[in-house]
Order: sequence, then C-alpha cells, then structure tokens
Amino acid sequence: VRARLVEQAQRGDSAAFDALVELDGDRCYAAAYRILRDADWAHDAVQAAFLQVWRELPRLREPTRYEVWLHRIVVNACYMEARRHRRWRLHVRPLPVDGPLSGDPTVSVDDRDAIERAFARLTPEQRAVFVLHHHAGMPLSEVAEVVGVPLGTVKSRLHYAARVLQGAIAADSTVADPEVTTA
Amino acid sequence: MSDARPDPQTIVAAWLADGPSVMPDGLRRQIADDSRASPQQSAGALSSRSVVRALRPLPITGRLVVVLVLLGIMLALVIGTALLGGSIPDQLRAIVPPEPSEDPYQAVLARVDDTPEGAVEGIDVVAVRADGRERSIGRIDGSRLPTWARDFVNGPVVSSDGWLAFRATGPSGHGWAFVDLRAPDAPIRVVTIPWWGGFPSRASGAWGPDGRFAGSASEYHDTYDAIDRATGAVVEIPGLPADVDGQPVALDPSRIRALTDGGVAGDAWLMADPQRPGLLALYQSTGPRRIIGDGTVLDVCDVGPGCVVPDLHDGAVTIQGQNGTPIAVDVSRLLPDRVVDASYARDGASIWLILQRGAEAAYPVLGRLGADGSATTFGAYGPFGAPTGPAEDCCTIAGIAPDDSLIALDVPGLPGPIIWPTEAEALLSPAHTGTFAGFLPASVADALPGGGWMDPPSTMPDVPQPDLSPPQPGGPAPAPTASAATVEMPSGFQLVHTELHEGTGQPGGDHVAYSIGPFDSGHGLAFVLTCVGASEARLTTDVPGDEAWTNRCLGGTIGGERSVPVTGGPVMATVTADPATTWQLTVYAGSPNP
Repeated sequence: VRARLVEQAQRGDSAAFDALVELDGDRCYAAAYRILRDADWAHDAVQAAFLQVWRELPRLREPTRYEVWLHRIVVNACYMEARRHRRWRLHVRPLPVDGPLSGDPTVSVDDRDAIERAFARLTPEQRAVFVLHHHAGMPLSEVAEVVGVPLGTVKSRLHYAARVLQGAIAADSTVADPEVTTA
Repeated sequence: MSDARPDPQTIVAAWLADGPSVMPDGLRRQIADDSRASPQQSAGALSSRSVVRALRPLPITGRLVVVLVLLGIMLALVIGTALLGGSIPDQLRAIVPPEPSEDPYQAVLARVDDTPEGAVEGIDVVAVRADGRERSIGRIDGSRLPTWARDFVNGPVVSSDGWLAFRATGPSGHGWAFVDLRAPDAPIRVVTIPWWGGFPSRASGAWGPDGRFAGSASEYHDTYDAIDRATGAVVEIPGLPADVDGQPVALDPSRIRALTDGGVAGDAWLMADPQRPGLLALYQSTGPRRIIGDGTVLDVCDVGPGCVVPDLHDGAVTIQGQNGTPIAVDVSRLLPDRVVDASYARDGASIWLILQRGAEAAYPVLGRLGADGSATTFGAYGPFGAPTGPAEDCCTIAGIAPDDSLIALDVPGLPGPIIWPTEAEALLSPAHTGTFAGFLPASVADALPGGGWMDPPSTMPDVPQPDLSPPQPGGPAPAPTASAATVEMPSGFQLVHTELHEGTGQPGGDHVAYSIGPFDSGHGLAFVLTCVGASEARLTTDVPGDEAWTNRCLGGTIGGERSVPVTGGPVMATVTADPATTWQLTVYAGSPNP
C-alpha cells in the first residue's frame, strides 16, 4: 500500500501524500520529540521534514526505500532544529495541570531528572541512534542506513548513550538511596 | 528495601516510552496545507512555521546559460587535467606532510553569532597564541552569504595563506564558502554541492598547496569535491568505499585517503580514470595525523567499532603499514591512564597521545611516545567530564600545528577547543570559544587586519593543576559557570524570581535550609537550580507528593532544572545546601500545557 501511495504522491497526488503522512506521521513525530525532547522543536522538525519529502519525492528512485529515506530526512531535520537552538538551553518538562508527574510510575521524579539531564548532554547524533533503535525498534543496520554512518559508529554511539543514561541512574540511586551501596 | 527499584534498562525504557506518540492535529493540518500550497513539488515555494523559505526557480533562459557555463567548465577541466597528467612533480607522489614554518603558529577559531531568528548574523575569526591570548583576524557578516546558505555554518578550515573555507547551509541548499581573510571586502565565493535536506552534521575538508580545497560533497563524507577557490571550478573526486565515512587526510596523485570514526583508512582510487591521474595534494589542517607518507596508519581502538588487531582493549594503539599486519604499540608504561586519541608527531615516527585520567571527572593528560622508545607525560588539565556517569573519551585532537608546537583539543561540553602548547608543563589558558579551524603561521596571521591581543573571556573554572579531591577548605568557592539568566525557557514561561547564595566558609559543615517563596503556582512553575561546590544542593517544595531533587555540584559543573506540578495554591521552595556551596535558584512561571 505504501509503495503505491508513494508512487501516486510522486506524481503530485496530494491525497496520497496525506495518506502517507497519516501512515508515518505519528512515528516520525514520536521519534523527533524523543530526539529533541521539546514539543515545539519536534513540531518544526517534522513539518520541515514532510515539506522536504513532498518536494523531493519525485526524485526518489526506489519507492520501496521510502521509509528509510523518510526517516533519514526526519533525523536530518532534527539535527537542523537542534543546531538552530544550539545555545545552551535547559529543558523544562511541561507538566500536566492535573494528575501525576509521569504516566509511568516506573520512572521516579529523580530518575526522570537524572535521565533528562544526561540525555541533554548527548549530541543529536547520539540521541538519534538511541531513539531509532530503542524507541522505534530499528535494527542497527537500518539505523546505520538512516543516519548515514557505518555500523561501527552506530554501535559506538549507542554504547556511549546507554552508558551515560545508565550511569546517570546509577549515580542518582547512589545518592538518593545510600543503603543500596552499603547493604 | 532497595530491591523494589527497577533496573536502569527498565527505567530508561519507561522514560523513553513516556512521551507523545501521536502527531498533534495542528501539525497534521500544517503539513497538509504545505503540500497544497505547492502545486510543483520540485519548485518547493512553500511556507513554513520557521525555517523553510521560498526557492525561486530560474527562468528557462537562465537555466540555459547555467548549462552552457557548466559545459564550458567541464571542457576546460578535462583539457586542463589531461595536460597536468604528465607533469605531476614526483614529490607529490607521496602524501604531503604538514608544511612547517619558521614562525610560531597560532590557532584559528570561528565563532558564529545567530540572529534571534536563528540565521547566521556573522562569523568572527579569531587567532589564539600559545599564551592563550586572542586577536580578531576577521569578521564575516552573514549578509554576505547567499540567502539560501545563511542558516547554519560548520566545518571551517583555514589555509596556510589566510583563506577560510566553511560549509554554509540554508533551507534550500548548501555549499562550500571561501573567504580571503586578507581582503575583508572581497566577495565570498559559495560553491554549491548536492543537498539531501537538513543540516549536515559534519563537514570535512582540507586545503591543498595550490589554493584548491577538497571538501566533503555529501552528508555521508563518501564523496569529495576538489574546488578551486579562485574560480569556483569543481572536480568531483570519486566515491570512497561504501563503509567509509571520514575526514580527508591526504590526497596523493593516486587516491584520496580518509579516516573513519573508527580510525580505518579508506581509499578511493583515482588511477582508474586515466584522464585524471592526479588532482590535488592536501595539507592536513585539522584532526590528528593518522597517516604518514609511506601509507602507515595509526589507530586507537574504540570499544564500538572494534580494533584492527583482534582482542585488543579499548584505547589500545595500533599501527599498520600499507600492506602489512597491524601491530599494537606498547603503551603499558602510561597506565593506568587510558589513551583516547593519538597523532603522529612531526617526525612521522614519534606519537603524541591524549590520555584520560580519572573515573568520573575525567581530564586529559598529554603524552608522547618517542621514536627512541621513551614514554613521557606532560601537563594535564581539568578536571571536567560527565558529572553523572563515567565519561567515554574525554576529548579528541582537533588539530596539531605543523611544527608540533600546539595541540587543539575538543572536549565535549566546552564551548570550544583547548589550545595546548606542547612545551608547557601546564596549560596556560582556559578553553576558548569557537570552532577550531586550523593553524596559521604568525607571519600570515599577524598581517591580517583585525584587533589587538586580548585575554580570552573565562569559559570555565581555571584549574591548571588537576586534582580530583574536593576543593581545599577555606578556599573561595568558584563562581557559577552559568547563570539562570542565560537559560532559554520554553515560550510562555517568564522569570519570576532569582535567588543567589554565594558560598562562604568551609565545606563539610551542616547543611542549611533556605526557604524561598511563596510563588503563585496557578500557571505552573519551573525551578532551575545551579550550584558550584564540593557538595550538593537539594530542592524541595511543599507540593504534596513532590519528591526532593538533588543537584550534585561536583566542584564545577552546572546543575539542571526541576519542575513542579500545578496545585492551585502558593508553593514554597526550600534549598538545602552546605554553606560553602554557591547556588542559584531561578523560578519561572508559565503555562505548562499551551
């Protein structure tokens, strides 16, 4: 279905393009939000990405490669957005007016703070690899294709990101719960 | 009981899953509007919320002129390269070593200012001496760049005679820009290269001795263009092997050589094309020297990509001849420091090493393995590093001066490189702001128009001698490295209160609670707590169910944010800290769900 929609959109069929946005938009937005950790930035990145997709679709030679191509453009748009805001910026998490801090009680407030701070120190490239693999569920070879680096580089970035995030939780645990280390 | 706590992987997975999974309807509508607004996809004259601007297609006559000009350039290049083919000097048949100068070298940095809209307002080009003092050697106003290439610049590389090349990108294309720093009013030449959308995360290039420049021509660094800065003429260099994504370090008459993140050299052979036996020889302007004239490659094993020698540990150093078996270099005399980067020295036999010392607050140490078998460590700098976990690879070599007198180090989290005089026992200056662009001999740099020499603004606590122990009692607490005033808040949040506590007395005493507020929480509150000191600062609020948040100051790092939910009533905040700790609490109010 997707390949047919891509071919129709390549010919300028905006309804087919809308259908493609419907098919893939949510995943793209979810990934962009997690790479950028900011709803407004993700909004701009995804809008710019789909704009780019619409413009460049006629030049896509292999419609079956659309998904990889789309993700590549989304990730590039995230890089662009991150660099547009490259001054140091603290991320302030929007909180719901009512209800708990997190929808998932697995993550305590301290953990969340620690992870957010650690994630903010990763480069957009490291974040993208982490999100595409652990959130979007892409195999590493596909991540490498999307972000355009060798597989070894993907592994290195993933390894580094995981160490940083897990290190943040471990450090938080050590301070917040001293008996963990002394028991 | 601590066994109720999930493992880190589960926590990270839960955190990652907790976020929007559906595109907002407004965005969906905007995307649909965008496509409706553009009946011709390739023209792309669309509007966007912030970044995308119109691209005006050339009229048909203009396109014909462009095609004719391109054909003319191609013809001239074919004839020119055929003539050049038989006259390549023999010395260019080896990889070109860095060109030494009798002058002392100065590092060159590029600093980009943004307009409020995020476009490039200007680029300041700065020279840095060995003593750390800076001098402006040029200002490139953003308005001199084409509008299509004014949103983002990166990859600056300075030539030994004072030209600056950099990648310029905009909403509808990008190219390599060339600026003659000796002629500030001369027009800037921008040579377009194929564009895949977005900003290229890296741009790599190197200057040749004849004014030509090899610049990456795709976002994946697998193809390069040889560009003549004077004419803008471009010769495409064939693609590197598919798995090579690297920085060009040399281009001899037969091939270009590039290094990947993993240190593997890739070659794209040019001899296959008899019309172009040789294009360009390169001086290495940036990055570590990893290849010497006979083709021997120096590498540092990385835990991710692995190592050319099986079963070697992370940080092992290897060398591999052109067709030989790779061997491991003995760095055991430098243990327990870990090698994170390496570069051949000027003599092509000795090796400069960047060593990492310290577990959590890593800092670099400069080392050298001499061709005579000696192993020496020089000055060190720090500490700095990841405050909440072990840092991997504290730093990388951004460049090494042709005469080995200066090494530029990139350190994650710092606003620019450290410029390290190799003869100094300790570093003389803090990190500089800007992107490293290469080195210039003083005779060239000093002749460039610009300002006088000045001390650089301090960008981090200056700790010339590394010491991982807590600051000594009685010493003044260092000033915070970032104030809340520099924090950019999401739209809708406004600053309502700032409270600064200057640390005094000796660390280690009882913590003191400071009550601050109340604040009206009717529209949501965000607290930013930064601190500097040997201990920690803790933030609590009287919001029911709100947990305390601790910022471990780690003797020089900045803190993070803390948000609290809306409760409808006034909120009191309490900061608990050692009296010796300097902390600052900033409170913002706004709508958390716009």
